[in-house]
Amino acid sequence: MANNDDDYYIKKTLDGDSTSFGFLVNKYQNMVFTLAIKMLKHREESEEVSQDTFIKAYKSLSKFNGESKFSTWLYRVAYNTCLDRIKMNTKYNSNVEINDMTSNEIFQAENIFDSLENKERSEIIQECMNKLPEDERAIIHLFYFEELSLKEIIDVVSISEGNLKVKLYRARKKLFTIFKESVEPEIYNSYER
Amino acid sequence: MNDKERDLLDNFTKKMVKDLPIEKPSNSFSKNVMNVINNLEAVKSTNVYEPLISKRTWFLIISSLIVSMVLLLKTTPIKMPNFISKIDTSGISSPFSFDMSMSFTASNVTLYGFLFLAIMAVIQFGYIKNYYSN
Repeated sequence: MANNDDDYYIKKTLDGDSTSFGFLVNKYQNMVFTLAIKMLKHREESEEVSQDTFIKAYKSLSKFNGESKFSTWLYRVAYNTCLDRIKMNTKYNSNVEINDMTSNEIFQAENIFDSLENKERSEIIQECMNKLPEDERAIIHLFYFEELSLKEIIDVVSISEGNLKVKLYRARKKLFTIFKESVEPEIYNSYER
Repeated sequence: MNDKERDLLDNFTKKMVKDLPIEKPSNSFSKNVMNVINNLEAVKSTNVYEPLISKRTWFLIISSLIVSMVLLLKTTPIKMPNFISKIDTSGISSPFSFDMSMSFTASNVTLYGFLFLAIMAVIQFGYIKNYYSN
Protein backbone atom coordinates (compact mmCIF):
# COMPACT_ATOMS: atom_id res chain seq x y z
CA MET A 1 0.00 0.00 0.00
CA ALA A 2 2.81 2.35 0.97
CA ASN A 3 4.57 1.69 -2.32
CA ASN A 4 1.31 2.20 -4.20
CA ASP A 5 0.97 5.56 -2.48
CA ASP A 6 4.50 6.43 -3.53
CA ASP A 7 3.83 5.41 -7.13
CA TYR A 8 0.66 7.48 -7.19
CA TYR A 9 2.38 10.63 -5.93
CA ILE A 10 5.44 10.07 -8.13
CA LYS A 11 3.19 9.82 -11.19
CA LYS A 12 1.28 12.94 -10.19
CA THR A 13 4.54 14.84 -9.68
CA LEU A 14 5.83 13.71 -13.07
CA ASP A 15 2.54 14.85 -14.61
CA GLY A 16 3.34 18.36 -13.41
CA ASP A 17 1.69 18.49 -9.98
CA SER A 18 4.72 19.57 -7.94
CA THR A 19 2.68 19.79 -4.71
CA SER A 20 2.30 15.98 -4.79
CA PHE A 21 6.01 15.79 -4.10
CA GLY A 22 5.21 17.33 -0.70
CA PHE A 23 3.64 14.03 0.32
CA LEU A 24 6.92 12.23 -0.40
CA VAL A 25 8.91 14.93 1.45
CA ASN A 26 6.69 14.58 4.52
CA LYS A 27 6.84 10.81 4.43
CA TYR A 28 10.59 10.44 4.02
CA GLN A 29 12.04 13.54 5.68
CA ASN A 30 12.88 11.79 8.96
CA MET A 31 14.41 8.82 7.17
CA VAL A 32 16.66 11.01 5.00
CA PHE A 33 17.54 13.35 7.84
CA THR A 34 18.45 10.47 10.17
CA LEU A 35 20.82 9.01 7.58
CA ALA A 36 22.33 12.44 6.94
CA ILE A 37 22.90 13.14 10.62
CA LYS A 38 24.45 9.70 11.07
CA MET A 39 26.90 10.43 8.28
CA LEU A 40 27.59 14.13 8.81
CA LYS A 41 27.14 14.45 12.59
CA HIS A 42 26.10 18.10 12.29
CA ARG A 43 22.45 19.01 12.58
CA GLU A 44 22.44 22.15 10.42
CA GLU A 45 24.57 20.59 7.74
CA SER A 46 22.40 17.47 7.76
CA GLU A 47 19.32 19.59 7.24
CA GLU A 48 20.95 21.33 4.27
CA VAL A 49 22.02 18.02 2.77
CA SER A 50 18.55 16.54 3.32
CA GLN A 51 17.05 19.51 1.52
CA ASP A 52 19.54 19.06 -1.35
CA THR A 53 18.62 15.37 -1.45
CA PHE A 54 14.93 16.08 -1.97
CA ILE A 55 15.63 18.74 -4.59
CA LYS A 56 17.96 16.39 -6.48
CA ALA A 57 15.34 13.65 -6.21
CA TYR A 58 12.68 16.02 -7.54
CA LYS A 59 14.84 17.07 -10.49
CA SER A 60 15.74 13.50 -11.44
CA LEU A 61 12.44 11.85 -10.55
CA SER A 62 11.92 10.90 -14.19
CA LYS A 63 15.04 8.69 -13.91
CA PHE A 64 13.42 6.63 -11.14
CA ASN A 65 12.43 3.49 -13.04
CA GLY A 66 10.67 1.63 -10.23
CA GLU A 67 13.11 -1.31 -10.24
CA SER A 68 13.82 -0.68 -6.57
CA LYS A 69 11.61 0.83 -3.88
CA PHE A 70 11.37 4.62 -3.94
CA SER A 71 12.80 4.71 -0.42
CA THR A 72 15.88 2.75 -1.56
CA TRP A 73 16.37 5.09 -4.52
CA LEU A 74 15.97 8.10 -2.22
CA TYR A 75 18.49 6.59 0.21
CA ARG A 76 20.98 6.30 -2.64
CA VAL A 77 20.50 9.97 -3.53
CA ALA A 78 20.89 10.92 0.15
CA TYR A 79 23.96 8.70 0.62
CA ASN A 80 25.71 10.16 -2.44
CA THR A 81 24.80 13.71 -1.45
CA CYS A 82 26.27 13.09 2.01
CA LEU A 83 29.45 11.62 0.49
CA ASP A 84 29.79 14.68 -1.77
CA ARG A 85 29.52 16.92 1.29
CA ILE A 86 32.03 14.82 3.22
CA LYS A 87 34.51 15.04 0.32
CA MET A 88 34.31 18.81 0.61
CA ASN A 89 35.19 18.57 4.26
CA THR A 90 38.02 16.29 5.32
CA LYS A 91 37.54 16.90 9.02
CA TYR A 92 35.25 13.88 9.20
CA ASN A 93 38.06 11.41 8.66
CA SER A 94 38.18 8.88 11.45
CA ASN A 95 40.32 5.86 12.01
CA VAL A 96 39.66 3.16 14.58
CA GLU A 97 41.82 0.21 15.36
CA ILE A 98 39.96 -3.12 15.36
CA ASN A 99 40.65 -5.47 18.24
CA ASP A 100 39.59 -9.08 18.58
CA MET A 101 36.95 -9.87 21.19
CA THR A 102 35.66 -12.82 23.18
CA SER A 103 32.12 -13.88 24.09
CA ASN A 104 32.85 -12.85 27.66
CA GLU A 105 33.77 -9.34 26.61
CA ILE A 106 30.57 -9.06 24.59
CA PHE A 107 28.46 -10.20 27.57
CA GLN A 108 30.20 -7.68 29.84
CA ALA A 109 29.66 -4.87 27.37
CA GLU A 110 25.99 -5.82 27.07
CA ASN A 111 25.59 -5.74 30.85
CA ILE A 112 27.10 -2.28 31.01
CA PHE A 113 24.85 -1.21 28.18
CA ASP A 114 21.75 -2.47 30.03
CA SER A 115 22.75 -0.72 33.22
CA LEU A 116 22.93 2.70 31.57
CA GLU A 117 20.06 5.15 31.80
CA ASN A 118 18.12 5.52 28.54
CA LYS A 119 19.30 9.05 27.81
CA GLU A 120 22.89 8.34 28.73
CA ARG A 121 22.77 5.17 26.67
CA SER A 122 21.58 7.00 23.54
CA GLU A 123 24.24 9.66 23.98
CA ILE A 124 27.02 7.11 24.37
CA ILE A 125 25.91 5.05 21.35
CA GLN A 126 25.61 8.20 19.30
CA GLU A 127 29.14 9.22 20.27
CA CYS A 128 30.40 5.73 19.44
CA MET A 129 28.64 5.78 16.08
CA ASN A 130 30.17 9.18 15.34
CA LYS A 131 33.63 7.69 15.73
CA LEU A 132 33.06 5.19 12.91
CA PRO A 133 34.04 6.14 9.35
CA GLU A 134 31.03 7.65 7.57
CA ASP A 135 30.49 4.81 5.09
CA GLU A 136 30.48 2.19 7.87
CA ARG A 137 28.23 4.41 9.96
CA ALA A 138 25.76 4.54 7.07
CA ILE A 139 25.87 0.79 6.54
CA ILE A 140 25.32 0.06 10.25
CA HIS A 141 22.42 2.51 10.30
CA LEU A 142 20.78 1.06 7.18
CA PHE A 143 21.20 -2.55 8.29
CA TYR A 144 20.35 -2.38 11.99
CA PHE A 145 18.24 0.76 12.37
CA GLU A 146 16.30 0.85 9.10
CA GLU A 147 16.50 -2.95 8.74
CA LEU A 148 17.21 -2.83 5.02
CA SER A 149 18.18 -6.10 3.37
CA LEU A 150 21.72 -6.61 2.05
CA LYS A 151 20.39 -6.29 -1.51
CA GLU A 152 18.76 -2.95 -0.72
CA ILE A 153 21.93 -1.67 0.92
CA ILE A 154 23.92 -2.72 -2.15
CA ASP A 155 21.52 -0.61 -4.24
CA VAL A 156 22.15 2.35 -1.96
CA VAL A 157 25.91 2.25 -1.53
CA SER A 158 26.80 0.60 -4.88
CA ILE A 159 29.35 -1.95 -3.67
CA SER A 160 29.52 -5.73 -4.13
CA GLU A 161 27.84 -8.10 -1.70
CA GLY A 162 31.20 -9.48 -0.55
CA ASN A 163 32.54 -6.00 0.07
CA LEU A 164 29.38 -5.04 1.95
CA LYS A 165 29.61 -8.08 4.24
CA VAL A 166 33.26 -7.30 5.02
CA LYS A 167 32.43 -3.66 5.76
CA LEU A 168 29.52 -4.66 7.96
CA TYR A 169 31.66 -7.11 9.89
CA ARG A 170 34.44 -4.57 10.39
CA ALA A 171 31.96 -1.86 11.38
CA ARG A 172 30.39 -4.11 14.04
CA LYS A 173 33.78 -4.88 15.52
CA LYS A 174 34.85 -1.25 15.44
CA LEU A 175 31.63 -0.12 17.09
CA PHE A 176 32.09 -2.66 19.83
CA THR A 177 35.71 -1.59 20.39
CA ILE A 178 34.69 2.06 20.54
CA PHE A 179 31.88 1.30 22.97
CA LYS A 180 34.20 -0.69 25.20
CA GLU A 181 36.71 2.14 25.26
CA SER A 182 34.15 4.87 25.80
CA VAL A 183 32.40 3.50 28.88
CA GLU A 184 34.17 4.41 32.06
CA PRO A 185 37.04 1.96 32.72
CA GLU A 186 36.11 1.75 36.41
CA ILE A 187 32.59 0.60 35.61
CA TYR A 188 33.95 -1.81 33.10
CA ASN A 189 36.43 -3.19 35.64
CA SER A 190 33.68 -3.69 38.21
CA TYR A 191 31.92 -6.02 35.79
CA GLU A 192 35.14 -7.82 35.01
CA ARG A 193 35.58 -8.90 38.59
CA MET B 1 36.12 -14.97 15.96
CA ASN B 2 33.76 -17.98 15.89
CA ASP B 3 30.10 -18.14 14.85
CA LYS B 4 28.82 -17.82 18.42
CA GLU B 5 30.80 -14.63 19.03
CA ARG B 6 29.74 -13.34 15.65
CA ASP B 7 26.05 -13.86 16.54
CA LEU B 8 26.53 -12.26 19.94
CA LEU B 9 28.15 -9.25 18.38
CA ASP B 10 25.41 -9.07 15.76
CA ASN B 11 22.70 -9.09 18.44
CA PHE B 12 24.53 -6.58 20.60
CA THR B 13 25.01 -4.18 17.67
CA LYS B 14 21.33 -4.49 16.80
CA LYS B 15 20.40 -3.76 20.41
CA MET B 16 22.67 -0.72 20.52
CA VAL B 17 21.61 0.82 17.24
CA LYS B 18 17.90 0.15 17.72
CA ASP B 19 18.13 2.15 20.91
CA LEU B 20 18.96 5.32 19.04
CA PRO B 21 16.12 7.81 18.59
CA ILE B 22 14.73 8.79 15.18
CA GLU B 23 16.17 12.16 14.21
CA LYS B 24 13.73 14.79 13.04
CA PRO B 25 14.53 17.91 11.02
CA SER B 26 13.13 21.31 11.95
CA ASN B 27 9.38 21.89 11.65
CA SER B 28 9.87 24.15 8.65
CA PHE B 29 11.89 21.55 6.72
CA SER B 30 9.11 20.32 4.48
CA LYS B 31 7.91 23.87 3.84
CA ASN B 32 11.45 25.00 2.92
CA VAL B 33 11.89 22.12 0.46
CA MET B 34 8.56 22.83 -1.19
CA ASN B 35 9.38 26.56 -1.41
CA VAL B 36 12.59 25.74 -3.30
CA ILE B 37 10.70 23.35 -5.58
CA ASN B 38 7.95 25.90 -6.25
CA ASN B 39 10.60 28.51 -7.10
CA LEU B 40 12.23 26.04 -9.47
CA GLU B 41 8.90 25.44 -11.15
CA ALA B 42 8.19 29.18 -11.41
CA VAL B 43 11.58 29.81 -13.03
CA LYS B 44 11.06 26.86 -15.36
CA SER B 45 7.66 28.13 -16.52
CA THR B 46 9.02 31.63 -17.28
CA ASN B 47 12.07 30.24 -19.07
CA VAL B 48 10.35 27.92 -21.52
CA TYR B 49 12.68 27.82 -24.50
CA GLU B 50 11.31 29.41 -27.63
CA PRO B 51 13.53 29.66 -30.66
CA LEU B 52 14.27 33.21 -31.73
CA ILE B 53 13.20 32.40 -35.27
CA SER B 54 10.19 30.13 -35.51
CA LYS B 55 9.94 27.28 -37.98
CA ARG B 56 7.36 29.23 -39.96
CA THR B 57 9.69 32.24 -40.24
CA TRP B 58 12.57 29.98 -41.28
CA PHE B 59 10.34 28.49 -43.98
CA LEU B 60 9.40 31.95 -45.24
CA ILE B 61 13.03 33.15 -45.23
CA ILE B 62 14.31 30.11 -47.09
CA SER B 63 11.41 30.14 -49.56
CA SER B 64 11.86 33.83 -50.34
CA LEU B 65 15.61 33.31 -50.74
CA ILE B 66 15.09 30.46 -53.18
CA VAL B 67 12.44 32.38 -55.10
CA SER B 68 14.59 35.51 -55.31
CA MET B 69 17.63 33.48 -56.39
CA VAL B 70 15.65 31.74 -59.11
CA LEU B 71 14.17 35.05 -60.31
CA LEU B 72 17.60 36.67 -60.21
CA LEU B 73 19.15 33.87 -62.24
CA LYS B 74 16.33 33.87 -64.77
CA THR B 75 16.03 37.59 -65.30
CA THR B 76 19.56 38.98 -64.82
CA PRO B 77 22.47 38.32 -67.09
CA ILE B 78 25.29 37.38 -64.70
CA LYS B 79 28.90 38.01 -65.47
CA MET B 80 31.37 35.72 -63.68
CA PRO B 81 34.27 37.50 -61.99
CA ASN B 82 37.53 37.59 -63.86
CA PHE B 83 39.40 35.23 -61.55
CA ILE B 84 36.98 32.38 -62.29
CA SER B 85 37.46 32.66 -66.05
CA LYS B 86 41.20 32.51 -65.49
CA ILE B 87 40.97 29.04 -63.89
CA ASP B 88 42.12 26.33 -66.26
CA THR B 89 39.40 23.70 -66.36
CA SER B 90 40.59 21.91 -69.49
CA GLY B 91 41.88 18.95 -67.44
CA ILE B 92 38.52 18.29 -65.80
CA SER B 93 36.68 15.49 -67.54
CA SER B 94 34.47 14.27 -64.73
CA PRO B 95 30.79 13.76 -65.57
CA PHE B 96 30.07 16.01 -62.55
CA SER B 97 32.07 18.87 -63.96
CA PHE B 98 30.17 21.82 -65.33
CA ASP B 99 30.74 24.37 -67.99
CA MET B 100 32.58 27.29 -66.37
CA SER B 101 31.80 29.54 -69.28
CA MET B 102 28.07 29.62 -68.61
CA SER B 103 26.38 32.60 -70.02
CA PHE B 104 25.23 34.27 -66.77
CA THR B 105 26.97 37.30 -65.38
CA ALA B 106 26.72 39.20 -62.12
CA SER B 107 28.48 42.32 -61.04
CA ASN B 108 31.20 42.00 -58.44
CA VAL B 109 29.21 44.24 -56.11
CA THR B 110 26.25 41.81 -56.16
CA LEU B 111 28.49 38.81 -55.58
CA TYR B 112 30.37 40.40 -52.68
CA GLY B 113 27.08 41.73 -51.31
CA PHE B 114 25.67 38.20 -51.10
CA LEU B 115 28.90 36.89 -49.64
CA PHE B 116 28.94 39.48 -46.83
CA LEU B 117 25.23 39.00 -46.20
CA ALA B 118 25.80 35.28 -45.71
CA ILE B 119 28.74 35.86 -43.38
CA MET B 120 26.85 38.45 -41.32
CA ALA B 121 23.79 36.22 -41.07
CA VAL B 122 25.80 33.24 -39.84
CA ILE B 123 27.65 35.33 -37.23
CA GLN B 124 24.56 37.17 -36.04
CA PHE B 125 22.35 34.09 -35.70
CA GLY B 126 25.01 32.43 -33.55
CA TYR B 127 25.56 35.57 -31.49
CA ILE B 128 21.88 36.33 -30.93
CA LYS B 129 21.07 32.71 -30.04
CA ASN B 130 23.91 32.66 -27.52
CA TYR B 131 22.80 36.01 -26.07
CA TYR B 132 19.22 34.86 -25.49
CA SER B 133 20.28 31.45 -24.19
CA ASN B 134 22.18 33.17 -21.40
